[in-house]
Amino acid sequence: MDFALTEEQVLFRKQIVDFAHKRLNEGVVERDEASTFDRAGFMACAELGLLGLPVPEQYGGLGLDVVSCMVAMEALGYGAADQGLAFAVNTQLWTCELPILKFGTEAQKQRYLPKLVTGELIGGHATSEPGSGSDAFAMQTKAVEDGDHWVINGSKTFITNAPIADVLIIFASTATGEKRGFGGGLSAFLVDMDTPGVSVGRPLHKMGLRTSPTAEVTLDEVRVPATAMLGRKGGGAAIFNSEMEWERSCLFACHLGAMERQLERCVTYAQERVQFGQPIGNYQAVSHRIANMKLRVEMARPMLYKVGWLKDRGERAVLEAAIAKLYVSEAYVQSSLDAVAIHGGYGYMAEYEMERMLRDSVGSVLYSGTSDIQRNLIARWLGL
Amino acid sequence: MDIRTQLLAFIQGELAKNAPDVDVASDSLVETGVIDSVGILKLVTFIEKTFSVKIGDDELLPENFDTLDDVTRLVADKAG
Ligand SMILES: Cc1cc2nc3c(=O)[nH]c(=O)nc-3n(C[C@H](O)[C@H](O)[C@H](O)COP(=O)(O)OP(=O)(O)OC[C@H]3O[C@@H](n4cnc5c(N)ncnc54)[C@H](O)[C@@H]3O)c2cc1C
Repeated sequence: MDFALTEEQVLFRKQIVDFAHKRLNEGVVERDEASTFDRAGFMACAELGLLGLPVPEQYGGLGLDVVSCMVAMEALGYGAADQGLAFAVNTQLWTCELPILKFGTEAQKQRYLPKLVTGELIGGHATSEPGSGSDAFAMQTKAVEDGDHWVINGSKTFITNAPIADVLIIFASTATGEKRGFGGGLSAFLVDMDTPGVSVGRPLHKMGLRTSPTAEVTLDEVRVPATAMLGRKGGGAAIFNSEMEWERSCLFACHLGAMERQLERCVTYAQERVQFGQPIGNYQAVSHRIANMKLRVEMARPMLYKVGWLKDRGERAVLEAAIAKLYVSEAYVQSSLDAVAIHGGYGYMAEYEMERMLRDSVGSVLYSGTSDIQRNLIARWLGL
Repeated sequence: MDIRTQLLAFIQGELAKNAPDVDVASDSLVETGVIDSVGILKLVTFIEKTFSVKIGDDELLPENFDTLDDVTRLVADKAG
């Protein structure tokens, strides 16, 4: 077992952290307040290669292995105070580029990947609907075959990047008859946002990750050619599961990086803040809280990287990804609460950024499958 | 044990435990809900480990896993 990073990974990590400090962090408090997406920052991420981490060089990417992608995402999470921007980057990578790379035809790859990698196109995916969130496969959005076209009708909600997206992977039922759910047949479609019938609602105002725009998407008689289908008819569930495995590892590596930064901020604060004549870090109530934050970071890292290691070996990591996602998200929320507590009243003030980290962290126990859904999956795996 | 018998034992023991009315040997596993979105991943993980074969994500289609015979055929084609 080798826990060491390679020299290239260490260098790339440092490069990303330095880049994030220089290019992504200024004005984040104001952007969060105004719920503004930092497009210039997004393009800067593309220039550095972040939007092409796992994409082979032939499509303009860096062609990195999974563990290296996770190292890069951890570095982004550590360096970037703008976690909404990091979330938008992750959404593009794991829920749009990766499925195209894994399931797309050569023509689809040629058409979308190079432009997604350069940031010329922005993408995401749309599974959730007003009536089906955790029970994603019960979706009502339907695609009906019409000659060499598909006609899609339905509505999607909570779609990250929708207000800025050029293309979304839309999941729809292609079942004939009344059958729904996994067995009914779900398929995925690459839908350009300028296709007639696609409309995007107002950006939704969120508790956290406000710099990452989110909206509802309505599909009204949206006609796409048969060549817009991603993967095979009925293959949507496999695409969704594959996306989730990537997201549960790489996006959450980004959160791990944020937890590390939060920990460092707390250590410094506890050393500097004096109350009753002593740095507050001298009080065990504070230092133990910080020790617990450290524990969470150290527990989260091997769980996450095990998923990357398995994936690099070509093995499935369904259970491991669920365990890592569950642990990291809950640890992230708990550490964010601890960080606010350690900073006292200052932790509650926007300027100190701890309150924003707390707000940003809460979504992590919801998206990519809620904590309950991860526990259900783990329990099922154990035969319960 | 042949492929079919091993698959039958796994599906009966792990996936169909709470579905006593389902005849795993002949019923549609998808329609009866024995194989759902999680069940298929469990089954594929078992197949890959037990039979040392790889099943592509693009093969995880309901029709490849609809009946025990379908699954057996898929595995046998790969193992053969
Ligand atoms: C910031 C953010 C970004 C998102 N981005 C996207 C996106 O880009 N694309 C997209 O498609 N979706 C996106 N989502 C949606 C997300 O995937 C859903 O919110 C999530 O799957 C939960 O669905 P729901 O909100 O409908 O909650 P529900 O499924 O209604 O759940 C409500 C509660 O019931 C619990 N529950 C439900 N079923 C069970 C069960 N069987 N057992 C135990 N407990 C259960 C849940 O855990 C939860 O506590 C995003 C969400 C957030 C917060």
